[in-house]
Amino acid sequence: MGAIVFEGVVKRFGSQTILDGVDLEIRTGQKVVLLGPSGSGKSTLLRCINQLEDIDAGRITVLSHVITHANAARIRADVGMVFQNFHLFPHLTVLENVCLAPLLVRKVTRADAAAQARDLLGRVGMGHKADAYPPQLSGGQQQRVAIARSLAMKPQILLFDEPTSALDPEMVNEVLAVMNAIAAEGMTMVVVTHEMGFARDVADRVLFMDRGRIAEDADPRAFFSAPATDRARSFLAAIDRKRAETEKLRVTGRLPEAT
Amino acid sequence: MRSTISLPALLALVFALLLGALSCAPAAAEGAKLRWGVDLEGGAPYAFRDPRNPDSVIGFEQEIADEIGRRLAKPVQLVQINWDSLIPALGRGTVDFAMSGIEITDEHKLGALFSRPYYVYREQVVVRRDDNRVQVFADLKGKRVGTLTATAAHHMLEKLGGVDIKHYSDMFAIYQDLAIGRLDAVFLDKPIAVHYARGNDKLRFVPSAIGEGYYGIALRKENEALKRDLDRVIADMLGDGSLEAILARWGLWNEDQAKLAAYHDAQPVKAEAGPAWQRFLPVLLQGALMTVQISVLAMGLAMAIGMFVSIARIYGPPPLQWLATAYVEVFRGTPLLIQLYLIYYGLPNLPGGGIQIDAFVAGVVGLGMNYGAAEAENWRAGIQAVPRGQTEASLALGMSRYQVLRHVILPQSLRVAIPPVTNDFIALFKDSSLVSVITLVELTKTYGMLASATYDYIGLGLLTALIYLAISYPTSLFARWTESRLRKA
Repeated sequence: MGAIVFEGVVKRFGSQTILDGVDLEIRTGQKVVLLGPSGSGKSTLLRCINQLEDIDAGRITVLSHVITHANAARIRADVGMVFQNFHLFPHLTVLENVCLAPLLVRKVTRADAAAQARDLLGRVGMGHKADAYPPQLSGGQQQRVAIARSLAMKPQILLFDEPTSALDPEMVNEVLAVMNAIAAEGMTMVVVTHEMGFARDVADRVLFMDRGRIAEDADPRAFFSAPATDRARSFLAAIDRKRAETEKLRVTGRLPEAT
Repeated sequence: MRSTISLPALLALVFALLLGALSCAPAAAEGAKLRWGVDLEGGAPYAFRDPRNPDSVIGFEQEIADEIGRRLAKPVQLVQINWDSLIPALGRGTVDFAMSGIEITDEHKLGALFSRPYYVYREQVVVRRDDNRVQVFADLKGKRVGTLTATAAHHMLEKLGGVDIKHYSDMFAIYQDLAIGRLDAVFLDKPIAVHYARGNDKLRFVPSAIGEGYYGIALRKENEALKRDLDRVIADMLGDGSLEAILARWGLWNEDQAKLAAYHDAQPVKAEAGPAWQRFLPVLLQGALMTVQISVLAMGLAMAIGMFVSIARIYGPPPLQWLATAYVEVFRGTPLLIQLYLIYYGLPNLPGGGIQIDAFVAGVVGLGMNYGAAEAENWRAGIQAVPRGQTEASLALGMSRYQVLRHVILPQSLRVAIPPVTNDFIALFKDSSLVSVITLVELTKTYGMLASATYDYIGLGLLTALIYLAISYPTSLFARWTESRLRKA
């Protein structure tokens, strides 16, 4: 059985249907990238996995357990999540941010939590900032600490919700490098991102979402060279155009004409 | 351009009006009316509102005042003034004479001129019927004894030493607290005891007669003319038996009153040497200690109450939310003074025995519950200022709702709440003076007692204000420091 299984999942916000009967199976160790235009339901799908959103119909199974309110905390402990805006705890030091959940949820000793936290911070290149407070760090640094905080729970699945979208361009790579390293260790990953490079190089499966459904479920190479649907084609074309414009802006310093 | 009054002209006008008002006030004292300063609160049997007809004032002093008016052919106008403030009111010219059971003592003579006495009083010890520990005055040592602030009885207790003196301004409350055991004894002028306690079968008069003194009419120090008039009226009333008739009607005539005729005024009293602040600073600091203790404990309680109320309001099920909202509105919308009265004097009267609370505890609880409503709002603002993402990130790590609140939300809320909480603490610190109504002697009460004994309202007042400032200013500095430290974090 897969690490994550969706069966006929429906999610509505008011009269709007965000997930329209999603069926999906993600196997242990897979690195899945969710792509799609904004409003297509990718973030909502991600947030349903750890019950930050309740579903209106269907069934989700995570790590062999059908999720319910009763087992929410237990399942969340094994499913890490990295947010677009980091959400580090501003009143705690970097080290305390990483230690807090293991102390409270896993009930490890203070010494063990601190030792593990220092090790993880070293792995994301943040060992030198252990005693700093989050507001003193750059966005890229904060996101690396947030990843270390998730890893401290020793999760079996990591969810990434646009982890680089709030970052200045020069900081994107430091975060992607950390994500690559985690992927190399065999973590099951579900990533919502607009970083096509990551999707191409790291993912072993691309899900293209459109209007609350999974429109394409493909190998990344096949998806990027020959998308099967018109929707995916125009989505990729729009991404290419945008990147070209960004390049142009960087070179000329002028805003591109509206298209 | 429209016609306007220039600023200097306006200031001059205001100044002129003020000057006029000030110079008019003493001038009115020489007018046709005689203004009589008296405290009707707890004034029985001296002068008090008739319980059967609250529009009219009765009492033996009311009858003497009527007689004075008749014999001097001047209408007497009653002016209600707190007992502590009667003698200062003479100095300000607010009233022409004060007659309200004021004892002719050396302390009172510092602030006023006295007529010849109209009554010879004794002090009376009252205890519970079943309590035999107090047989003579000296037995009051080590006991909790209630009395009225700045009275002769109060000074006798102070002179005796070792007495746990409890301060009251309300006669009914004092005998009630004796009956329910908050006090071991009440020590007051006999007329008060006769009026309030004689009918109460739970209480017993200790038979030994103690102390002896004179009630006189207090006048402004320079008002020798009125003194001569009043001395003559009182002498006449003694001579023709009308004073005896009045006192007898109130059950107050006794053999002691024979001394009224033989009274000779002693020499005027001179103020003690040395600046007041040196003698009184230690006493004031003791009051300040009480103020600080009450304020700190009450604020701690208020923060705890506020936290639970705000959590109930934000996260609780609807009935709990409703209750929390009701708590905030009720305590915010009613005066702290009433809440203190209800807690201290009201609760013991509940049907079925009631609840009796120590004055200190009642003060802390009253202030704490009142300020708890304000702190609930501060906590609420703080909790709502924490971004939703903090909760999501914590939940995503597997924390329980309680853990999120305890370790993520509340610490961050506190940071937001610190500036308004500090302001509230300073306000509470000043409001703590209200606990003097439930017999606690804190800084303001200490000041009132000292000032009414020495009439040094300005010097002692500035000293007291300075002590308040010396405590509140560092508090606000400290708060600013913690705030900046937390913000950096």
